[in-house]
Amino acid sequence: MVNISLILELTKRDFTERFAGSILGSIWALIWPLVSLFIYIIIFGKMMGPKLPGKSEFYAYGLYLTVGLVPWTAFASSISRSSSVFLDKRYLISKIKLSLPSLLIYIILSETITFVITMILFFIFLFFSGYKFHLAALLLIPFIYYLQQLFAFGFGLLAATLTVFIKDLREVTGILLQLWFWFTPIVYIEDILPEILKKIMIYNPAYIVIKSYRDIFVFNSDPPYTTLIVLTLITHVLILVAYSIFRALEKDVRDFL
Amino acid sequence: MIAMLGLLAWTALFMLVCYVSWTKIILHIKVYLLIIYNAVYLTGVFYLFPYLKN
Repeated sequence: MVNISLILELTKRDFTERFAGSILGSIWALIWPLVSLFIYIIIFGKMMGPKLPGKSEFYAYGLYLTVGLVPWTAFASSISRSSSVFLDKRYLISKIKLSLPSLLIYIILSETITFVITMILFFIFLFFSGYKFHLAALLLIPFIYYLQQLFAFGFGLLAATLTVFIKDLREVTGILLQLWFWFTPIVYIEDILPEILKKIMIYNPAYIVIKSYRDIFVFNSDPPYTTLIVLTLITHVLILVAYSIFRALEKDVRDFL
Repeated sequence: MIAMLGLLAWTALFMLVCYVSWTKIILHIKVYLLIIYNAVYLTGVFYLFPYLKN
């Protein structure tokens, strides 16, 4: 049974509990992204700005870094938290009859709130710094984000199901995300990679997503539509496989918890 | 403007089809059906957008 009100309640609690008991409360939800943006745009932008090919603005590298790190954080946190959600919420699963995949949805929603707050602050910065928006392409941002989070959902569901039986997978997922982060040109510039890595980079889903954001925000061009279509199909095959495995093991998952 | 309206119309169509399928079909296969609809929807967005934009 998919319980929408439960998902929304879990999302709300997940978000408010992070700052529960603090004096500033939910204002921390604004302070954290502000500090992150300040570090990415002002500090790194000033240090590395002139090193981005074809860009002369002092904040060019800051933009490059922000549109890489902000989506990556949502993507990686969604996968990381999803991988152990069945174990973490076992007390809830044993008490309430609920659809287990819906537990992943609240994580995705919670990460989306953080992403949206950061992006609003980022847009405000861009507006006041005189940035020229590529308006039509900006319409695609929610769809690219939706695609990346669908991939995180599929990957997370597979990891969450298997982690119930093999607890080490939680750690393996963490290590895999670390390697994935450094394999994707998020903090460094793609041009420094050896030719062989550049050729296989197209098979990295995180690269395709981050490249799409960068094409829109940094280079004011269109994202790679054909590659996004291929990634959409791969993502849905992943979800179908993950859901089929989950269905086959669902009874055992509930018994193991 | 046309791109925005096109995306809205495509999204509304997808939501309507999903809602009807979810409420009319009682078999569990509807979950798989919705995943396939979603794939068609997003593929449509990335395929149609360059045409809508121009």
